[in-house]
Amino acid sequence: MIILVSLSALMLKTEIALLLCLVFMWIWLILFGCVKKALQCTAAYGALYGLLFLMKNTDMLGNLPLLTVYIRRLMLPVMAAAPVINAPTGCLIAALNKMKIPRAATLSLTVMFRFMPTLSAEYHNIRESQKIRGIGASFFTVLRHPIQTAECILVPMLIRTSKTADELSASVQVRGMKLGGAYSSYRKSVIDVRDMVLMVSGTMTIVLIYLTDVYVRRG
Amino acid sequence: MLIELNELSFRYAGSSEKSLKDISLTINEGELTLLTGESGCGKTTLTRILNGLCPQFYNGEFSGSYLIDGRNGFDMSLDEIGTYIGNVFQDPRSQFFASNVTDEIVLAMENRNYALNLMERRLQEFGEMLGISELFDKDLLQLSSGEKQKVAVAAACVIKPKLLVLDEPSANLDTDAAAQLGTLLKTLKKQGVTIIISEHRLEYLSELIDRMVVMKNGKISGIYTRHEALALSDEEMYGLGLRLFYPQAKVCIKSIAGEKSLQMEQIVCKRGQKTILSNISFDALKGKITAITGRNGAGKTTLCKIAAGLMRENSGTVSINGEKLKRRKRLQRCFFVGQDPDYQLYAPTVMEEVLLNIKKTPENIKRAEQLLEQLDLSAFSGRHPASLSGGQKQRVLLAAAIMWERPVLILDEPTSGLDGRHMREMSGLLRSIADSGTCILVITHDIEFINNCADMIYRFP
Repeated sequence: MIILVSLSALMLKTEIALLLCLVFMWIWLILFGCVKKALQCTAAYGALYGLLFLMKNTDMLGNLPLLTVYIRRLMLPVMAAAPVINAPTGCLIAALNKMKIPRAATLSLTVMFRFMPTLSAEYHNIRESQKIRGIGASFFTVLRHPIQTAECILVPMLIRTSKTADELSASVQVRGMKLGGAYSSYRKSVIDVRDMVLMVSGTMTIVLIYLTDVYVRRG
Repeated sequence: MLIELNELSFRYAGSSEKSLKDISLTINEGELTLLTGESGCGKTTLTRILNGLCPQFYNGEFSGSYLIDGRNGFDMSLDEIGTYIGNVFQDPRSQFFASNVTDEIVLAMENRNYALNLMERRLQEFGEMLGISELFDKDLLQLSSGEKQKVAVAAACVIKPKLLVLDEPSANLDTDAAAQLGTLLKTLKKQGVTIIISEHRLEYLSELIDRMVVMKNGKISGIYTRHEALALSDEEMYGLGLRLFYPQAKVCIKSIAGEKSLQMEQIVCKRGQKTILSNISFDALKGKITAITGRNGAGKTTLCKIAAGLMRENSGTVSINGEKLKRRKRLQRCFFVGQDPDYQLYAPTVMEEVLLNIKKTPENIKRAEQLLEQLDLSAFSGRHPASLSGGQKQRVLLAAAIMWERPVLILDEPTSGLDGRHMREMSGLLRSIADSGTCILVITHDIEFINNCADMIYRFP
């Protein structure tokens, strides 16, 4: 449901629909204990909206207004991912198993979430090492040599990631991870009231988005 | 006999030379066998044959026979071999699948469809046996390197494999954590687990080993009983390219005269609520090598990053060659070689790497060529740095450091994962850089390395 709503957020046409999605993400974040994140995102959303309002009267800023709209859209999937990233991996696998999602999809999704903190740690390590060699040490040098800076981040990042992916894959295969065969879960996955609330509000959000869309099209 | 290898050879796909040549070895139940030898001798490949990753994961050609408990190992799937053999790898960052300690430990049991109550019993049993119960349900990224390796051992042992294979498990551990790993292996050995451990660092294993297998160029060059191995003299161990079983700390802290280069005064560093450094003052001399030691997490790396301008201090001053410098200025006076060379190499060839961001004048190019010659790298000057071995990558970085001619050179654990011979070569190289007037700081827990090259030691409180 979360995935559905956040995907639809990327295709939204109207401001009201975006706001509806935001309210839904709000419910999701608060239900699963990320109140701080919810507040942060709302503040950022408000600030960007305000910025758009200010920029309406000048036409010198080029694509900037469009950018604020896109950032607000991209915020929704980020909000959707927040509780999942912090959840124990076992819970995620158990829940996906219960939904009868194919094993291959479950594993690739889990690996994706596992890689997020790794990627940010790798990025910080690389940026730090670059400063010593005078690559992108200051804002000015980044502006002067944008391609060199990007290349020097991407190359080591790709090398590290492919190495990690290889070693990780070896490490889980010798521990019996495979696509076929029977497996069990240590974590229990149960559907509780929170999930019910989410499903109802999710369905309502999608219906409402559809209705506003039809309404707008009719003029 | 648990494992029987006969005339085994292996060549990786795409490589022209065999990594293993005619290996014959038997492992009896309950034994702890140490596999050692210089880097590139084939010990990692041998562990990969044992756990089936060669040839099932890393492709290649093999000949000879491999029996596990009387069954043909080459006919078994990775999963099947995995029920006999548990594995601990070198790098904790890439062997963990889960984000949470408990999930990681139960993973092998989940994959084999264990019932919930059995999983709970095993968790409790191994938590108590290995002393890690208090780590359950913690975030894996927050653990220290030593704790991570304990979790990795538990994750490999919960399905009670007959054999445990460890590939350089101490590479990222300080002396205390390595000793704790030794204690943990002793516990497992008492329980009857057969253990094969591939390792350069020997001091934490001296009490445990039953046999030592020394490899060279893909062959077994010698098999020693416990008694024979421990009786080898220092010179004999050097001759084999190995580290020592009983390295003795030789350098004592003494004040030596000299010109001060790096001076740090009353450095305080806080991150959030946590005070990492409180009022640390510290001097290092021009042309001398200062070793910085202390347990993991004591703040050694933080102190050095502040010196190099990579981290911001909350208060205190840093001067280099008598001049008080702000953080950004220090970035241009220090060269910092981090633990993992993969993060620090950016150019498409070794030559360009050494000259990266340096003016390509004819003199500089000539100097770079000479340096590569000196560092035994001229054969690789056109290769991509990522294709080199760990030790070679480190030398490329040192060549770049020498080119920059900065007054302070800082290295973070330069000898972790290096065999005895390469560790001694690194000592010699640092000595020659120091002799040209550079002030060198080395963060290290390697007693032998300190004996070989340090002029002074700064021990972290």
